[in-house]
Parts: sequence; C-alpha cells; structure tokens
Amino acid sequence: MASFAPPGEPTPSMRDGYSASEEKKKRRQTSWYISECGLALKLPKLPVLTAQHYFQKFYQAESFKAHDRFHVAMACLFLAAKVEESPARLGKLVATCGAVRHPKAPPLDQQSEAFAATKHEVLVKERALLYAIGFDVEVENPMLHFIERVKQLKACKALDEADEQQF
Amino acid sequence: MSGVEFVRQSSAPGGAKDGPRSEPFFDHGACESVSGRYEKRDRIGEGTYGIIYRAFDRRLQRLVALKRLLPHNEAQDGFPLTSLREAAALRKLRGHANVVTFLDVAVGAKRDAVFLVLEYAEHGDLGSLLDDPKLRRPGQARFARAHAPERAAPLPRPLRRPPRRQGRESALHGAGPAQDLRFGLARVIAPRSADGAAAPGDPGAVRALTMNVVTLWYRAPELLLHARRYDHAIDAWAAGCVVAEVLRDGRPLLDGKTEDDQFAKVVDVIGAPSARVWRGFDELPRVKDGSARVPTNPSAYYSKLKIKVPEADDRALDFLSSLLCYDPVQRATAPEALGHAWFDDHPRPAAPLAMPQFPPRREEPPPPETRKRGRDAR
Repeated sequence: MASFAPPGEPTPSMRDGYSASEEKKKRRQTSWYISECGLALKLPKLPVLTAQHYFQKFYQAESFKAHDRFHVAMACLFLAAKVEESPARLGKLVATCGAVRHPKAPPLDQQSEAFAATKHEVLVKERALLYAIGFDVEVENPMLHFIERVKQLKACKALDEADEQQF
Repeated sequence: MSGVEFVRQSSAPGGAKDGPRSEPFFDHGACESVSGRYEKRDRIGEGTYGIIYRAFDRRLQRLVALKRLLPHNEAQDGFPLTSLREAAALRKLRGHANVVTFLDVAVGAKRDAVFLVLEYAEHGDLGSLLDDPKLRRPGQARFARAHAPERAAPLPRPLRRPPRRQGRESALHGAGPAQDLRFGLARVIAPRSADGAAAPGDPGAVRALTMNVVTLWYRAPELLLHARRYDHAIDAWAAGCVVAEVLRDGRPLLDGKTEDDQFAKVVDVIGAPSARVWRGFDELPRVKDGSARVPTNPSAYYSKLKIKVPEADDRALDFLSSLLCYDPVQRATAPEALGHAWFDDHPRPAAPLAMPQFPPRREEPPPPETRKRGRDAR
C-alpha cells in the first residue's frame, strides 16, 4: 500500500532520483501554475487553495516521474472546483489551462484527438488523485477562519481590494 | 461502464485474470485494494445509487457491506460529485449510532471500480423487518419498531445538499435527530423500493439548488413545488412519512408515481395548502406559474390523516401532523418532535436491549448477474 512520505523521509520523487531542491521547485512552480489557471478560469480562491493542497498531498504519495505535473494540476483544479461548489467544465478547464501553459501557442482545437487525450488524461489523474488521498476530499482551509476574523474587524473592504479574486 | 479506461489497453489482452494484473496507470494509493482484503459474497441491494454486496473482510474476519459506486457520465464530469459528497458525509458521521459506519474506500484491480466499505447490517431494510411477526406484539412493536432503523440497511440516505456549507449541516442535522427520535432520519429507508435513494440532479447543475432530491415518496411539499430554498425541515417531513408508514404496517402513506401525482396525494391526505397555512405559498415557483394543481373547493382543506392512518390514536395523529405540516417554518423540528407527548404514551418505546433479536438471514446464492458484474470489479 502506498503511503504518504512522512516529514524528513524521502518522497516518492526523491526515490525516483529527483533532488530535494528539484522537487521543491517543481512543487512551487506547479502550485503557481494552479493559481494562474484558477485566475484564468475565474474560479474563486477557495477551490484554488484546495487544489494546491491536493497537489502537495498527491506528490507526497506519488512521484513526479510517474505523473505529469500539469495533468495532475488540472485534475486537482477539476476536483477542487467540484468539491468547493464552483464546478468547471472539463473541456473549458483543459483549454484554459493549456492556454496558461503555452500562452503563445495557438489554442488547441477542441475536436482534436490531442485535446481528447488530454481530457482523458485529466480524468485518469483525477482518479489517481482520489485514490492517493483516500477520498478524503474535504479540506478545512485555515484562511476561512482568518477571513471570519477580518470580517469581524470590518476590514473586509481592504481585503477585497487587496485581492482580485473572491473567496 | 464509466466510459473512462484506467488501464493501459495494450497490456490487457482479454483475460489476464490472476496472473500479473493488467497494468494500471496508477497505484491504489491510500485506498484498499478490494480483491486483496475482501471476499465478495453476494449481492444484497441495488438501485440507481449503486450495487451493494455482502463481503467478508479477511483481515478483521467479519462481514462488511461493499457499495459499488456507479459513476454516471464520468467522461464529462469526472468522478461524480454526489459520490464524493456521500463519502465525505459518511466519513464525517462515522461513529454515529444511527448511521451505518463508514469503514474505508476500496478500489478494484482495474482501478475503475470504487467501493465504499460499510458496516454490515444484518437486516436489509425497514420494510422486511416490519413484516416480521415478532414485531407484531403491541407493547413491543409499537415503538420498538422505532429501533428497526438502527439495525437497518446499509443504505446511506441520499445526500442532498443545498449550496455551500449548509448541506453538510443538513446531513448532520438529518442524522442528529435520528439518534434521539430513534427513527432512521439519517437514512430514508425505502421499504421494498427499488429506488432506495434519490437520484440527485446531475452533478453539473449543483450550483443552483438541486431540485430533485429525496425519494419521491418522502419528498416534502416545498420540494414538490420547486422552492428555491429548503432546509432540514424536509427531513422532518420525510420522518413523518416514515412514521406513518411504520404505523400503517409498512404501507407507504404517500406513494406517488410522478411529482404531480405525489403532490396530489399530499393534498388528498393532509388537505390543500393555502397562503393561510403556509406563509409564502403563493410565491412558490410552481404555484406562481400555475402548474401545480391546488384544489380550492372548501372541502379540500380538510385533513384526512385520521382516515389514512386509522392505527394512530389522537396523540400519534398530533405528532404526525406536526411533521406533515405544509409550512416548513411551522413544521416540528427534531428536538420538538422528540419532546412530543406521544413518546410518553403507553407503551413506552422499548429499550434497544429489549428488542427482539432477529435471526440472521439465510445466505442466498448470488444471482447469475452478480458474477458477470462482479468480474470487472475484481
């Protein structure tokens, strides 16, 4: 049974030959990619944060070598959007995330085989993700408690202005 | 089945059964592999919500129920949200006396089948228990039946979910009273109904309020009239229906076939609604657009509950009508229902230990279909 690498132990990616800093960089960059995609998809902040959470958790159990991080990132967003009640359509998600990744490339033809293959890949990764996290999809976001407090302090206007994305 | 393959096609030449498995794209992760730990016995239930098997847990040497989730429309929406919610809610309600205990998630070898591993309850549903002659002795039976749901089915109630957090609470509220009330509020157990669970609307549309929740027979009038908002009062309604059904020895009180038919039955039993008894009645979508048929002749306003449930005495009727009340705001809440005088009446509800024991059911040979379906899960 696959298990999460405990802190301090080598992660599955490290066992596959990635150095700690390489892995860290990949995680950081893909996390950033997820938030960019979230912005492009006009998703609220909460699903994006949840997606990042899933992403980190996934690569604690699986290796970057076996799973393409961009597909996993899309699957994380797809699942998180569903769980956090702002579902995104798969086609739109794949198209938008593709555009975020290759901003200069012409948009992918939605009828093409490559597009269908990516969609399929995202669905496969969604399953892999669900299995890796053991269907424990609910994430209690600490930010929500924080926001609650800030609202009590009547500072939500400042909070809104500070961020273009709504929770 | 799901339309999405999770194994590499090339390495799955037909019947690679027990040998080296056809190569899945990924590991089963934190989930158990179903074939490794569980031994499938026979099929014990089926519906739109999935198939339930009886299985033997080799590690802990006990029976469990495996509920196979059937992903609908996976190629488009991915893993169904309703199943995600179900797993999440069951996980949250773990340890609750009246909710079947969620043990684990197990995964088939080909990675496409997902099973919820649930505690095995010997007696499938309330309906079959009500047929048991042991429950006919009045003293015991009358409220003893109240305990039946505790032993009843591994059928988690269909999860409904108003938007956002509320839904989770609704599931919790729905379950909470179950313990006190001793009625399977947490799960609507549909006796002898093939459609044990509601078919919640398609997962893509949950952003708005899901309209099509709860098995039709137990669906509250505000849902039948497409109210935009609803809350756990719909659970109280469902409880009322179940209580009436129990009193009627298992004959459903409101067994409509369609939504309109169901509403007509509601009107027939508890009288026609009006703005006088139900604040905001005129504002309900189906009343406003005139598509709901609401009789207005004076005699239509009388409740026929007493005739429909002749077994009920005055207090029972009062109890029932507090639950089967049109206005969700006026409908009894779970604590109110619990405090109702009916429960002080003689005979008192039997203690769980005083309940008759039910002999374990015979193990039935699996129907031939089971094998066919079971194979792709193994």
